[in-house]
Amino acid sequence: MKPAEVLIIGGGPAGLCAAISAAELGCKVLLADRNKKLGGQLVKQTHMFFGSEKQYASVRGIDIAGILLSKVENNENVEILSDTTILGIYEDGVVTADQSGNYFKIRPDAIIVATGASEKTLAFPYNDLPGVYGAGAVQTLMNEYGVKPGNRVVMLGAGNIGLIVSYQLMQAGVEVAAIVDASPKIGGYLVHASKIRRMGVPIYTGHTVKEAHGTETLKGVTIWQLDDKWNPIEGTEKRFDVDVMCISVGLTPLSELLWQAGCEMKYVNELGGFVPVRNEDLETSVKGIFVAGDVSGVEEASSAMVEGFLAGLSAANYLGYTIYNINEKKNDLHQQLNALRSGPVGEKIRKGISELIFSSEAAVSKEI
Amino acid sequence: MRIQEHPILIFERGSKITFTYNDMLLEGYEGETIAAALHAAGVRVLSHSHEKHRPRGFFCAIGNCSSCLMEVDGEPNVRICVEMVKDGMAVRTQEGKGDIL
Amino acid sequence: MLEKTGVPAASDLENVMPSEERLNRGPVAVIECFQNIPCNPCYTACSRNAIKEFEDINDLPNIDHEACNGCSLCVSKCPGLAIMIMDMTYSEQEALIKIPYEFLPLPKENDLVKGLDREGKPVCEAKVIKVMNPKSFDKTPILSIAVKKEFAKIVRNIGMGDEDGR
Repeated sequence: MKPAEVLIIGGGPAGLCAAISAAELGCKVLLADRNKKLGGQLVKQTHMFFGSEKQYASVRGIDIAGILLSKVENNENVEILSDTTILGIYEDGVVTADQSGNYFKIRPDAIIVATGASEKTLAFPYNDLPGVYGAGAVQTLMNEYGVKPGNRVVMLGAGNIGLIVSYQLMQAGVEVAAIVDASPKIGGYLVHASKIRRMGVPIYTGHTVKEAHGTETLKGVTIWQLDDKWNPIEGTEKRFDVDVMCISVGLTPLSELLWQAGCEMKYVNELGGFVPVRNEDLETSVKGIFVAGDVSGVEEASSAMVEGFLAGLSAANYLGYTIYNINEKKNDLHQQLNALRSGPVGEKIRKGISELIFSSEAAVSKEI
Repeated sequence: MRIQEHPILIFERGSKITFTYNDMLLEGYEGETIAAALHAAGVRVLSHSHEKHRPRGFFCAIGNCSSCLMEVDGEPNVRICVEMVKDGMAVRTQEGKGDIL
Repeated sequence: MLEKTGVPAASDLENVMPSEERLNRGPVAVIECFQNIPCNPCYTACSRNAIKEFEDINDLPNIDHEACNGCSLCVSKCPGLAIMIMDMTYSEQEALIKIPYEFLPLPKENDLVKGLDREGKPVCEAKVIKVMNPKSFDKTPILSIAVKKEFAKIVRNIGMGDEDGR
């Protein structure tokens, strides 16, 4: 059995930042990621990030991945387990893992779950045709492996991911025929929408997919308009001959390990699905299990990084490690999170999180 | 279908390798997934569903959804979106649920 | 309008346009940022303190057009690519506008291209005067293009290639 002080599950923006801050307090960190390369979805983000300098604003996601990775890789307190899938968290605190086909056990003193989220899909006739892909999948294909998903795309969903991936498709030389969203308003940042519009791509708000066409692979998509009660209007159909349709209708937390560990979970629509109840310092209802990033509620990568730093501090502190200015650091991170969430675009997140927080004084029920 | 020039990214592809897809010889690059190599070669249909035999492609491409299961070097149910392609690999369309033993 | 279509309305643009008097005095930044999102790199990029410090990071940018000299430092730093430089003093007939452009192929100096409006529709001829792509711009090149003055407030992108200008 492999001992560990803090085991961090997931090496995306949240997990990397958690490793950096826990290690800074002198804590020994084991950082496990199921992929060969760490960085999570950051490694596909070719656009510049929003936020402030503290969250690497104006730096491209791929470059942020490089910055965070170099801090982790050169850190003697961090051991990286890549190509390692965490299989389970058991009642006695034992964690099981599979590294490149080798099964083994880990006994950590604290755990930070930073497993991220997965893409949701949408029901419509023939949505199973090859060519109907998650927007993130297309991003992986073109930005990580340099392969075009097809020639012409309809993007379903005008949230930030839908808008960003549409722009990236055009940068990769793929035509975007239209962006379609059932909502009457664009959900993503309007600056993203504007930069796509001035490339000549239409955004059909208040529209949804009627059906996909094709027998072996996707050949086209028909959309139609919705009335103000979200019912489709006959006769408003538009058909696009495309070989790819991207689905970008939101993400849902990858929370299986939290369920298994017995963390109290709550369904919060605004945060993407079932999310763990936790205190302000990101400790769940199971003592010693902390969360950070999309698994604790789907939002922007900037917040995931700040949450990572906070969870790393909290977990290390839980194990007795500290630093002279720990309270100052925590306050700063809380303030960063509040600032990122305080505006109108953070309203949903604020509402969602308010349903989840229990005070640190309240009963933390179980121990790992 | 490979991107040659990109305004932001530089693709540093590994060495060229060959593998088979249902006995057909295809090319790929070291360091990329089987799914990426197949897609670049124009293969989008990865299997057919068990009951209605509907064509199946990948959906998430990061190992979450299991829509891309294929038989690789005799092993069934391999998520080819996270399995790296290797020289000489035999990738096959999987019929049925796959025999593990 | 903007939140339905992604295209700012004339009234939105009026709110962020420098005064005619300021425009006629030389290059100045126009910030087309209309939504309260958590973002402030335009402030940190500005070396003349023309873009004011954000009290709340979700505030809209507050630019003093009098203090701005159109240096374009903020243009490639804006994650939303929402900033352009407008210079109405370029020539008798033409204005010079500087826009971020993250696509390939990049145009070359002296190329004649289409000037596209905020919906991507070609509206006029545009001449590429300069293509700036130093390392510090981090892969967000800035194009200087000359257009007839009456199109200065309309053109926001360029089109190369096929007939519809895209």
